Order: sequence, then C-alpha cells, then structure tokens
Amino acid sequence: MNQAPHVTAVILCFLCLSACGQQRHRIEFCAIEAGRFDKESMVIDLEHRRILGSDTSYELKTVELPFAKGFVRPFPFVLPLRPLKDMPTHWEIQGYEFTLSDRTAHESGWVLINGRAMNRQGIPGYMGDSSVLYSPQSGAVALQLSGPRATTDLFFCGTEQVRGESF
Amino acid sequence: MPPRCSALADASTYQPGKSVRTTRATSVTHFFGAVPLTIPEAALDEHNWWIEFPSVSDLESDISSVLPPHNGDDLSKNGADVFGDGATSQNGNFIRAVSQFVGSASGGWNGVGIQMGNSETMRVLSGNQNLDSSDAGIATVLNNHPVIGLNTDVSATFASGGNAARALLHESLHLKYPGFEFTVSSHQWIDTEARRLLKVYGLGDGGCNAVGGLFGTDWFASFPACK
Repeated sequence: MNQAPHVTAVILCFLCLSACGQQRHRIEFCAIEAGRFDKESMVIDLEHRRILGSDTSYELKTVELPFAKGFVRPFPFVLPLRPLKDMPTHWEIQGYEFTLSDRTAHESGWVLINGRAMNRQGIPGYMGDSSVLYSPQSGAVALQLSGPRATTDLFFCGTEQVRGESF
Repeated sequence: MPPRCSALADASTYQPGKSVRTTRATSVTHFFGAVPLTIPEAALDEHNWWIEFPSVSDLESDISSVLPPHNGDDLSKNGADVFGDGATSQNGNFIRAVSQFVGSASGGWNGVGIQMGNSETMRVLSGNQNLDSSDAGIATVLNNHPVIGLNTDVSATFASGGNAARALLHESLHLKYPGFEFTVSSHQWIDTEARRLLKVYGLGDGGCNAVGGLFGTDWFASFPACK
C-alpha cells in the first residue's frame, strides 16, 4: 500500500496547524496604500502585546469594556464583543473616543468604527486616528490610519480573523 | 590651528595629525575619524591614554556645518542616554559622541534613549521580531519611553560618525513619524530625510548605501543598515 498520500496529508496538516497556531497570536495587516509592491506588513503580535513594523516595535495599550475589546495605542483599535444591534454608537475610554457608523448600516452587516485620541499631545509613538471596516461575519477587513504628521493616510487590508475576541 | 570646538577639545594639547598623551583627566576628547568623542571619567583608567587627532582638514570638513552654530556650547548636554550591554564598549562611547552632535543639531533628544546590544538583544527589544542580521537599528516605545536600539553586531554603523548619525536620525524619524515604516515609499522617505539631515547638520556626506536594495536601488533595502 502506498503510504505517500497519507504522509503528505499528515505533513500538510502539521503545516496548517503550525500556521494556524501562529495566526492565533500574530495578526498581519498589509499596507495597500500605493500598490502591491509598496507594502510592508504591520503585525499585531498579541502574545507579546506589540505592533511590529520592519524596524519598529510599539507597545499595545489594551482596553476592555463590557461590549468591546482591543487597544488604544499606538492607534485606537477596539472591536465589538456583542452583536452590532446591541452596541452603543459612541463610547469613550482612557482619553479615546469611538463612534460606530449609522445604525441603519447594521442591516448590511458592515459598520465603520472610528477611533480618535481626544488629545494627541504627549502620546509617544501615536500613529494616528483610525477607521475600521468591520462586520461580525468577516471581522476587521480594512484599516485606515490618519497620522497626525502623516503626509498621506495609511490603508491596510485586514484579516477575517480579527474580532473583539481576538484580544 | 586648533579646532574651534574649544568646549570639547583641549586646544593647548592639540597638534594636527599627532598623538597626544594625557596623564590625568576627568574627561577627555578623543577624535575617531574626524568626529570628536568626549570620554566620561568612568571610561578612563588610571593609566595614560594615547589620543589620535585627525588633520584639521578632516575635522573641519566633517563638522564645519554643525559646530559654528554651536560655537562655545557644551555639546555634551545634548547627548542621549546610552545604555545596554554595548554601551560600555568603545562603540558605546562612539555613539555617545555622535548623539551629542545629532542632539545639538536636531534640537535635543527629548527623552529618547539609545539602547545598545547585539542581535539577540535587538530581537528581544523589538518584541521577538525576526530581524535580519543586517538590521542596524530599531525604534521602539517601552513603558511610554521612546528608545532607539542599535545593533552592535552591525559593524558598519560604527565605521564612521556619518553612518552612526544616519542610523540615529533614521530611527529618530520613525519615532517622530510613527507609521511611516508600513509602506516602502514612506520608509524610503524616512531614510532619504535622514540622509538629507545628515548633510544639513554637517555630520557626513549622506551616509552609506542601504543593504539589499533591488537592482542597486533602495527598494526592498534593509534600513538603516550600511553596506
């Protein structure tokens, strides 16, 4: 009996499990600002509570509310823990303000979650205010950062795995 | 003619191109290449030190832009806090001196510290990031304190004051413009700006080329490492 298919399947499963294991702790956003050859990934390293760039590393300041969870530094990124219909449209936490787009948009399953620092001064490494395109089914699929000093906004494509429970 | 940086150098002992032997000092200015280095007392032992001074032309060409606006100033006040395993080495004092010039020219360090260590230290500092061995530096924020990590395994950084200043300026700009590392073009801008400032400040001739650029360009290069 030829064992090769079984061995191959076992190897593939192992590789998949390895990849999935890493994915549980590392969320990768790819920059799409200026085309496919102009991207350097941003990695949210949940295990070590850091945002990683090519030669940068910033600490996450995590926050948790009864209805949402995420972090506020180096940029505000808080995602729902409840169904959208049960979410408030505005909340504040630790000097950061979040707004959920119009409730009527809930029927489509997609909302924009906007986060901003109420006072940007004195926040080292603050990358800017955020806009996250989110649906409970797909998670956070797009992220826009409007940096306080940025000449252009940064856009990132997300991953279906990012939800409030991810943090 | 003695150098004009009287606050840094002992003009009475200065002889262009000659070594100067000192027997007693609480601190002393050493010239590596053409950049003066103030060695703190702790780094001096009780024995004599030989100090190599460069030619006036070398010295003048490297620091002519940065010194006149600071004539008479004590540049040491503008040095960054340099710490870590690598800070006690010669490279540590080298970086202390370069940071004095960068700090003076750029308006101060504003609390930014410089941690020096090997590749493993940089990996830990960066949050277990898989850094390339040629990665010269990293910008990070630890407990709300901005820190620049300098990799002591990357010898090119310490080959000249300009190379070191470029690495410090590059990482400083990351702290000033967080998020610019996420696209190639904005990351390139950071490095181009660092090199531009290098010239504006009179700290070098633009710095070395980055490692690994595609077709000899800066695309996909490893910043701010030097070839």
